[in-house]
This record gives sequence, C-alpha cells and structure tokens, in this order.
Amino acid sequence: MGLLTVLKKLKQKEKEIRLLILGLDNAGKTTILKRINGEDISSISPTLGFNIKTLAYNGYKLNIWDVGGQKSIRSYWRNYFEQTDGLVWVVDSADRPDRFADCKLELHGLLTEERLSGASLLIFANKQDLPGALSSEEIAELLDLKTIQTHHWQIVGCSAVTGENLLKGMDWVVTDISKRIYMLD
Amino acid sequence: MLTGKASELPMADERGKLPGGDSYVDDDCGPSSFFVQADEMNELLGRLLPKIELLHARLKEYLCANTPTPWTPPQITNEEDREFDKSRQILDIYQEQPHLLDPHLERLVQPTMQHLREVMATLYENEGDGRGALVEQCMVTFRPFMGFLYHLTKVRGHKTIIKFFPHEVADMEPVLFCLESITHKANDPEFWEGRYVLLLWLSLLSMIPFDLQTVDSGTETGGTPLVERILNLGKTYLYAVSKEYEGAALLLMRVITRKDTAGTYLSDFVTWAAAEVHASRDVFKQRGMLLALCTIYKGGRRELLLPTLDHVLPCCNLVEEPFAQNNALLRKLLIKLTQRAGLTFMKPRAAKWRYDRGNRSLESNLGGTSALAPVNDICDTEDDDDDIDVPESMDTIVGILLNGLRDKDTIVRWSSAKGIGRIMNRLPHDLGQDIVQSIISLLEEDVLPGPGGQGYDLSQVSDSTWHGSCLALAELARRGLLLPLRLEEVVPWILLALKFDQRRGAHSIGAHVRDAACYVCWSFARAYAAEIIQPFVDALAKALVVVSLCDREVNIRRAASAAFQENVGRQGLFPHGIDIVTAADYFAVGNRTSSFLEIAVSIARFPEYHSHICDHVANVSLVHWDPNVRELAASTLAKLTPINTTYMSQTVLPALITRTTSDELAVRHGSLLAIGEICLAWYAAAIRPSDTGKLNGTVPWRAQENSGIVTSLSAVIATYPARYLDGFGGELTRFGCCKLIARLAEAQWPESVGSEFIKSSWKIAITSLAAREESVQVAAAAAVGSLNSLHHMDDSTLRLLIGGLSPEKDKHRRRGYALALGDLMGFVLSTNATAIIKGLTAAVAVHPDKALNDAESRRNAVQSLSMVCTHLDSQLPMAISPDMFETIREALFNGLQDYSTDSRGDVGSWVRQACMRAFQSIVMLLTNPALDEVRTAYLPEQAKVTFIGELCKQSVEKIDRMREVAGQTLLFLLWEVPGFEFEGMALLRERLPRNAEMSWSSAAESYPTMIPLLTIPQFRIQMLSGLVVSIGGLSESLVRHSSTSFVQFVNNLPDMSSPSSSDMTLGDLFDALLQVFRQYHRQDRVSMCILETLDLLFGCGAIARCGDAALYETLFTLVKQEVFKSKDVKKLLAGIKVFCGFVSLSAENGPAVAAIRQRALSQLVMYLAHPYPKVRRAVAEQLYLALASNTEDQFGDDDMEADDDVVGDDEAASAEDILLSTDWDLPVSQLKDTRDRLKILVLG
Repeated sequence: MGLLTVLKKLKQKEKEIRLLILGLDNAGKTTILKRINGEDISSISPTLGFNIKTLAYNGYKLNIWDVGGQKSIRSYWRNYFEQTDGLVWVVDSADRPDRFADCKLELHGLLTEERLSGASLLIFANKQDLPGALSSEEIAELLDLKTIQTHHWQIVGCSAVTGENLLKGMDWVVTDISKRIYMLD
Repeated sequence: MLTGKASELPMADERGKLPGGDSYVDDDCGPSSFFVQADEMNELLGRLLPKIELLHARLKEYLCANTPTPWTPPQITNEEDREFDKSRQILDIYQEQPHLLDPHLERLVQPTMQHLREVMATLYENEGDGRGALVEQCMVTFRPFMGFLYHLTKVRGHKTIIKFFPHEVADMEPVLFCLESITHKANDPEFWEGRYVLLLWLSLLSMIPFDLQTVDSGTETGGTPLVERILNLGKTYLYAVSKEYEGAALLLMRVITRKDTAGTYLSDFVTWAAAEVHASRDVFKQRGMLLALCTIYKGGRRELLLPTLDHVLPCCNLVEEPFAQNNALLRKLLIKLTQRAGLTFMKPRAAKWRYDRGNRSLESNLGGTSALAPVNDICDTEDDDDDIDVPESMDTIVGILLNGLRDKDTIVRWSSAKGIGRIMNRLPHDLGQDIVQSIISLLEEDVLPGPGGQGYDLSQVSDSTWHGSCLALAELARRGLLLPLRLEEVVPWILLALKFDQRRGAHSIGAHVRDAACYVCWSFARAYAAEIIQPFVDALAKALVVVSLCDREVNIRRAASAAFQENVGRQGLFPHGIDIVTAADYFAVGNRTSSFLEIAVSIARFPEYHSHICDHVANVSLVHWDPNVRELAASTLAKLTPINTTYMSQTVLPALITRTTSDELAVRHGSLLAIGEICLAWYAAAIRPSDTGKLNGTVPWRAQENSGIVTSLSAVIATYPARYLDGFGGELTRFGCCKLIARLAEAQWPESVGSEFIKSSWKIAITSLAAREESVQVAAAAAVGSLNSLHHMDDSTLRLLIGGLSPEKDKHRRRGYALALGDLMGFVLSTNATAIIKGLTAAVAVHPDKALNDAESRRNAVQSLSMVCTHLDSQLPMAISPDMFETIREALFNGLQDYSTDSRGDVGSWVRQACMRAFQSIVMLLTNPALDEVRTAYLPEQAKVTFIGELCKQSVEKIDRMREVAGQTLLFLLWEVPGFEFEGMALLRERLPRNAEMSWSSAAESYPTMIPLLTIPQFRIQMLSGLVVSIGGLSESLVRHSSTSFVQFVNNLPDMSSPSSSDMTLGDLFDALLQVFRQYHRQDRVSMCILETLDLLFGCGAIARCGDAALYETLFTLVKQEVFKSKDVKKLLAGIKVFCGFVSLSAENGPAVAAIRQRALSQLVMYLAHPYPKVRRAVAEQLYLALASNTEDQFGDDDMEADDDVVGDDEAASAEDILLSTDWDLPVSQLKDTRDRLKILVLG
C-alpha cells in the first residue's frame, strides 16, 4: 500500500455519499426515496424495517438508507448512523399540530448524536401539495431550526407526489457534502 | 503496491490497470469504463438459476409426498461448473476497478438471493426432525451459488454487496436455522463460502429495527432465545480458520450493539473476548476475538462501550509479547484495537476547515454555486479545548501507537499511523503537539551529522521508523492536525525522506519511505491554505519534480507526480505548475528512459528547476546502485549540458572529476561516464552552427578559462590508478574509462595537453579490448576507433592487434581485437587495409581444433570485415585489389556455412547472421557511383547468385531469428538497392512483393511463402539443404509447418514436364535432393534430416509416384551408406523408417523395384539382431506395420497375383506373429534364431 493505492481508494470513496432519510411515520420518506429512484409510488405501505437504494447523481453514487418512522422503531435509528454524510429529515407539512413538537424533539435529539456530527442536514417540508400544508418558513420556525449550530442545514418545501423541489433539495445536500474535503477514515 | 524491499524490484508498467486510466485525475471515461460482460453474465445466471428452482420443486414434492420417498437434490454438472468458473473469471477482470460493476450488482445479487431465500423459507417451514439433514442436502446445490456470491464480495467488497441482500423480518429465522443446521460441520472446507455469505446475510438481518424478542418464534416454546442462538453461532465461527471469522465478527457487532441487546450482552461478550485473547495462545482464536473487538468498538455506540474499556485496555499491551512479535496480523489487530479504545475515550469533533479547503471535484467548482447555501455556518468547536477531559490511559494508548510506527511490518505501521491521525483529531491542542514532537523525534533517531558536519547522515536510521513516521505525518497533515507553525520543523525532514535511499550491499532500500514522503506532500496540498505553504513551495516543488522524474521506481515517480499535481491544483503556487503537470503526468513518468531523457531535460529549461535537476542527476542518479540508472544519468547530463554550459562546466564537471578516483565503484563508473558525455555535449554545443549558418564560437578547450578543466581531466586518464582497472569491478571502471576516452577523442581533445594523455589513453583502450565483458570490449573498440581518428595508431599497436587474432591467443583478446580492427578509419586503415583484411579473413575461418574455435571472435571478425569495407568507401579500389576482395567474399561465404555448436547451442548462427548483414552492407557500398567501373570486378554475377541462394537457404532454416534476418535481408536486396540485379531476381520478386508484410520468425507464415521458391532453379539446391533441416528439426510447430507446406508443394509438382515448359517436375526435386544428399553425406546435422525428409516423401506417396527405379537404386545405396555402422540411435531409427518406405513400394514397377524391396527387407531383418534393444524394438514394430499394410493392399486389390508380392500370405501371417510375440529386449544371442526364422519366412 502506497500513495497511489491511497489515492485510488480515496477517488472511489469520494464519489460515494451516504444519506440517511429519517422522520416521523407517514412523513413520506419512502415515497421520496421511490420518487427520486423513479419507482411507482401509487401503493406505499408503512416501512417495516428499512430500505437501501443506490443511485447515481451528478457523478456521485448515493447510498440512501430509509428507515421506518413508527414510534417503536425510532429508538433503533442509531443502528444506521455510521459514516452518514448527510441526514435528510422529512416532515409532513400538513401533519397534526401536536406532532410537530414530537418532530422537533426527535430531530434535535438526533443532532446531539456524536456519530452524526459533521453530517449535512436537509429538511424536506413534504406534502406541499396538500391543502393546509405549512410553508417551509413556518416549519423552520416550528422546529426551531435556527438554533442549529452544529450542522450545515437547509430546508426545502417539496412534494413527493408531484416531485416538486425534490431535486433542489438533493442538489443542495450533495453539493454541500461535496464541498467538504474528504477524509478517508 | 509493494513496499519495503520488494519495491526495489523493477515494477511492471501499471498503465491501464487503474480506473479510467488515470488514478488521480478525475476522468473515468477510458475505453474499459463499463462492465463489458454484463449481458454475458446475466445470461450465465439465467441458465444457472433454474437449478435452484428445480431444487425447490423437488424439495416441495418430497415434502408433500405422504410416504417418505428418497429424493436427491439436483447435482451440479460439469458444464455448469464451467459456467461458474467462467463467471468467476469475468468478475476477476474487475478486481482492480470493481466500481464498474456497481450499476449491475443489483441484477447479479438479487435474483440469486431471491431464489435462495425461497428454498430456505420452505426448509424452515417444514416441521420435523429431519429438516436439518434436508438443509445439508440442499447445500450441495447451493454451494456454487454461494461461491458466486462470495466472489462478488471478494471483488467488490462485502459492504457494497450486502446492501443488495434481502432484509425482511421474515428472513431472519430461516437463515439462522439453515446456518445452524450446517454448523456441526463448521470445519468442512467444501462450504466455507456458503457459511461466510450466510453470516454476512445474518449480520444485515440483525439490523432490523424491531425488538428481536418479537421476531423470535421460539420464546413461547421455551427454546433458546434468538439472540443467544445468533451469539453462539458467531462465537463458533470466530474460531474459524478461513474467512468465516470476518463474517462472524461483523455479525456479533451487529447483534450485540443493538438497543435491545447491548444492555444484556455487550459487556459480557467484551469481557469474555478480552479474557480469551489473554488466555489463549491459539492464533486463530486470538485473531477472531481481536477482530470481533475491533469491529464492535468501531461500530458500537461510544457511550455504551466506555464502561467496558477497562477489560480491553490490558489487551493492548500484548503487542509487545513474543507471540505477537511473530505475527504481523495479530499486531495489526492489536494496534487497531488500541486505536479504537482511544477513540472510545474521546468525543468526536468535526474539523471546521473541511469546508475551507477546496471542493471534492472540479465539477462542483466550475458548475456554479448551488441556488441554495447552508442557512448557517458551523460554530468553531476547536477552541473549547478546556472542556476536553483526557483519561490517563490515553498516554498508554498513544505510546503504543507511536511505537507501532516503528514496527517491522508495513501493515502495522499503516494501522498505527491511521490510528494516531484519528485519535489526535479528538485530542486537545497541547497533547496533539506532544504527539507531533514525538513523531519528529522518531525521525531524529539514529541520525548522525553528515560528513564535514554538513547535513545529516541517514545511513544508520531505520527505514521502518522513517516510513511509519512519514505516514503518521501525512495522516496528521491530511486532517489539518499538523499546525502551520510546525511546518518549518517538519518540511526539512520530508525533503530528506523524499530522497531516502539506504545502500544495502548491491542494492538499496527506501522506496517505501519516498512513497510515504510523497503522501505527506500530497496531504500538505489538501490541508493548508496557500499562504501557509508559501514559504516551502520552492523546496517542495523542486524536490517533487526531481523525484517524479528521476526516481528509479515507477510507482515513486507516479506518487511524486500525483503529489505535485495535487499541489498545483489546490495551491497553484508551484512555479510552472501547469506546464509540468502536463509534461510529467501519470503516463509520461511511467517510462524511466523518457522521464530522464525527455521530460527532465525539458523541465530543466525552466531556470527555477535547472540546477536542482542537474544536481540530483549528478549527485544521486549518477551514483545509484543500479548501473542502468547511472548510464541513464550520464546520458541525461549530456542532454542537460546545452541548456547551461557554464553551470555544467563550472559546477558539475569539477565535482565529477574529483570523484573519478573514488573508492566506490558506482561513483567511479558514473562519474567517468558522465564526464565524457558532458564534454562531448559541451563541444557539440560550442561548435554548433548558429542560426546564421556560421560556425558558432570555438572549441571550448582552446579557451583560456577552461584550461583548468582540460588539465585536470587529462590527468584523470593519464594517472588513473591501475588497481581500479584490474581489481574488483575493474571491468565496469574500464567501461567508464573507454567511454570517457572515446567521448574526449570525439570532442577533439587538444593534443597540446601532452603525450601522457594520448599514451595512457591508448594503453587503457587496448588493454580493455581483452576484457571478459562484451560491453567493455565494444566500448574499448569504440575508444580505439575514436582515438585513432584523433591520433593515429602506431604500427606496433596495429601489428599487435592483427597478431592477436591468431587462434592460439586468448579468446577474449581475439574477440576484442577483431572488433577494434573494424573501428579503424582514415589513414591507418587505407594504408594497412590488406594486412587488416588478411588478419580478419583468417580469423573468420573455422579452426580444425574445436578447443581453439571461438564463435564470438569469428562473428566480430565478420562484422569488422564489413566495417572495413564500409569505412574505405570510395577508396576501396585503391586499398583492396579485386583478388583481395574475393577473399573477403569467400570468408563471408564460409561464414555462412558455420554451423559450429558448443554448450550454448548453435553458436555458428551468430556468425551466419553477421555474414548476412555483412553481405548486405557490401552490396550497399558498391552502389556508390564512384565504384561504377569496378563493381563487376568486386562482385561478379556468380557471387551474387551464390549469396542470394544462401539467403534463401537461411530463410527456411530452423532458427526463427535466422529466418527473420535472412528474410529481411532478402527483401531489402530485392527492392531497396538501386541497380542491384542478378539472375533469378525477377522470379524472386514475383514471390516476394515489395511490401510483403511477413512475420519471418513465425513458421506458420514463412514456410508457405518460401517453399514455392524451390521452383527457381538457381537457388533450389541451397534452399533444399536449408529446408530439410527444418523438416527434420525438433520443435513441433516448426516441423509441422515446414512439412505441411513441403508436402503440399511436392504433391502439386507434375510427374513430367510438358515439352513446351520448363516448369519444375518431381524428377527435378529428386535430382536436387540427391545432390544435397551427396553433398552432406555422413554429415549428421543435415543427412539425418534428409532421412526424415525421405520418410516424409515416402509417406506422401511422392517417391512411389516418381516410379524411377534408377532413382530408387541411387537413393537406397546412399541411405545404406549413410547408416552403415552408425552408432547413433536416432539416425538408425530414421534409416529404418526409410527402409520401410522402400518395402512399401509396389512391385508393379518392375523387377528392379522388386529387387530393391527385397534388399530393404533383408536390411530390416538384419537390424532385428542389432546390438541396441531400442533399434530391435523399433524395427520389429516398423516391419510388422510394413508387412501388415502389404497384406491389406493385396486384399484390397483382387487382380493382383500373390506371387508378385515379396512375401506370401501365410508366410506374412506367421512372420507378423513372430514379430509381435517376441520380446526384442532379450539378449541378441537368444534372438538370432528367431531372426533367422523370420529371414526365411520373409525373404524366402
């Protein structure tokens, strides 16, 4: 093993990004995943367990892990933290008001996790197509995003059903990750 | 990549092996940038997967049957085995760039996994005691599929492959059950791949986000809990000798770090494993435990693991134990564990600067900014050092890791370096700086002050320590942990490491250190802002350029080039960075010769780099242990000279002159070579015509300011110590001296320096001619030639050289003298041409006493003969009379008949080859218009035809190289020489068209083209004598191609020529063959091959077709004489085959033929009592075949009278019986009676 081997390895690793999609149940995580993967989204049932998808985006290979959001499962989320480059937090913008408190609690809890430190955070304010959906600004306020100092973050209002702004969000998270210098660890 | 000593070996060019062609440029669009065999692979799988479906169907049928009927799982056929082999071969192609498989992995993994899980589900659902046995039965069919999956993990890595495995809750129990069912045979070597794949699968399944208790169907029935079953399996396989232990470690980590399990099992397991590591001395056990611990500490949550550290820390100290000292892998794992323990103590921190220092890809640099920016900026966490609490154990941990940097094994050093990098990332500032200080003091270890108190002497330092320290510095730099204020201290060490080279006897080591130093430089580029690196740019750029161009090892040149490129790309400070990156890229530096001679020279034109490159080549490359590098360095210096002659002559040259008498052979050799090259280049640059066409300046030696150099240089030769010329390494020193003398002479060295220089130069050159090394002789001969042009050789020396050619003299001397005579020119040559030629022609002759024969001397003499003629040029008629020239031609002709052999084989071929080339140059010489009038006198028509015939002969001989030279010469003479004509030329040209692109060395190509040339009568005899040697040759392909083409040719020959045409007939061929046979009568080299050829001609029916009794008679007599009293078994066997050929002739052709058959039979019968058993056996067998085929012929032809045949039916039958039933290995005395009985039966 010498410099050329290190470089070769690094070149491959640098092209791989690991994203973790989390959020409360019924936020639309799997729908977003399937939508960006070009799959049928007409019949999606609650995720029992987890999904892994690999797709190519802008020359990067994205390994996306999508874990179910039911309350009982949430405590297992940390099984999936290792080497996460970016966290995609999905919010149901038209959710019941009482759930937003839950949502905020879970999100801020995640951000204290050591193994997610340094990961970029994208918040998808999903279901913008529904009537009564809160705007991304409102959600940012509800989730108290502006207090986040430990992670680069961005919120994007989107709709998994129409596909609106999904690309914009993915683009941000990939670009933000790619702006870091990569360390083979 | 190799490291350590191994990397000193010349490495193969790695071109094309790296992804997309270039390892460090963002460019993935090479020609092989996709998975070419994707479709083929899918088809393969499509054919194979139904096997599992079949298994599933049979299994279900068996399970549904009411009465137990025996069933067999489908077996894998050989054909399918081959398909699996094929699939593995295809995957192996991508071992070096496995990411190309990525887009296709899903289609490769998922169908296979889907099939497997269906069968496993069925197996699991089936209730009953025998289902474990069923699993085992199914494994027979599963095995190759699991092997295929394993192979994918081998090529692409298990982390990637595992993502495509199914991971539904329902899969958990079936997979666990199947693995359990085969675990009682955990050591069965047949199925390790399957166990490994199942363990991997189980490890993924263990990630399901549900409480494992809810998944466990066995809890109600009171069985072992699921988690414990998995743990037991994992523990069992941790002990495995083969790869299962890796799968087991992963599985254990996954199961034990879960939220629902960690509380109960984690601590116990860690305690247990740590205790095992301590207690056990079983390497495999320790390996498994350590890997499991490493994996757990890597994957588990820090908060959970913190309390367990007390159990693990004592393990880390084991690295010093004797058992670990003997096992690099154990030490590596221990270092890893130490590192993980350290990381568990400390909270992770993300370095803020990650965002400051450049983007990952050019694409995002150029692609414009994204519409969105992060809403915030991360707070700098680096100044809250005070909050960091460092446990005392960290000292121990860091100490172990620092010590690991000096380990004797590369993998341990690497692991330690990475560990230090990772841990320091989490340590407070002060402690981090202590670590940097420790690493620097590792570098300082055993460093002595350099000679004269200047610089450093690194001869005593440990290369391992330096390698490890450089790796650690690189890891720190890459993470931004090597603070800018440390650079001033570190950079000088890195500059030394970039050129680290420790002599070890005849070679040196240090490539791994240089590689690691390149890594440090590369890391600098990534971690620091331009203004920080600015003060060091100059030194780093120069050093990197030199290493990337002038290192001996290709991987180091490439590593340096990569580091340079990274610096240019990220810092943009390196002078002429873009130009250099363009000129010295990954591919360009792959070739050492062009790196030195082309790229280094072109970059030396930049003033910033000039002196550094010159100094490195002169001070490092020129004294390198590898003589090839020294020679390359000398040539490079020559090319560097015109760029700045002043620097070369004032700075480099004086230093080199003092080194010519160094005690070190390499230094002497290198400096002698370089001085000559530089002086000649200097001279050439000085007298070079300037742009105006006038001679530019004067010879530098005349200039007053150079008198010092001229004097000291002349003194080098004049006073060269004899002990260096004749002691150890004298040959190399002589080589250097001769090169120097030749170059100085070519550079018109002034005679004014005194006779001492000339005298000693002559002496060294002449005495070096007798050196044992051929390369020295060649150099000496060149020196003699050049010296002679500067200062004529005196008569006594010339007489010495000519006299030294005589066969009684030492063979090395003869070789060298012969060479030297060919390099003479001018006055000495033209006045002494006759004497020189007489000497050389005598030297070409083969001496009757074999001991005095020396092929190299003869070859050199032939070369020199042609050189003499070429040098005389238009003076030829004045210097050499036509008669004298005839002796040259004769010498060449005789040389073409040189087939002498010695222990090295056909050494005569060197002479023949030289003769062919010599003839070509003579023909070329005579095209000179000045020689128009004498041309025919010097090369008469007949001589041309003879030589061309000889070329034809050589072009069908058995040695590939000879055919090649002969064929090329022939083509050249036919087409490229204006005015050269000879009889038969038109016919040859017809056969060998001008641009005939032929691979002469390939038997398959050359024989079909050349054999038809036999039709040209002028060259027929000579060609045939060459061709038979190939037909009767030894190597299979040669014999096959030559005989096939020959038989084809013979079969197409007409029996009789039509009166109107002069086309070649079969008769003509036999006439020629007879002539060759007579010519080479009892010369085994050819005559034995003629016998083989005759056998071939009998076999193809050509001899029978000819039907000429007189020919048979002559042939029979010749053959009989040929084998008469021969003791050579091979020859006898060939003869026997020919006699059998005569027996096969049909008696129809008249009584004369019948008589010959009879004589052949009696000859064969006689051989039945030959003293050699091998001959007796062979003749019995051949005779049997001959008689049997005769009888068959009779039956096939009813009209034939039995009387006509030599042997009657009954007699033949009993004769055949006897031939078969007798043991011909018995002593001859016991066989004589049998032989006599046969004689009566066969001959009547």
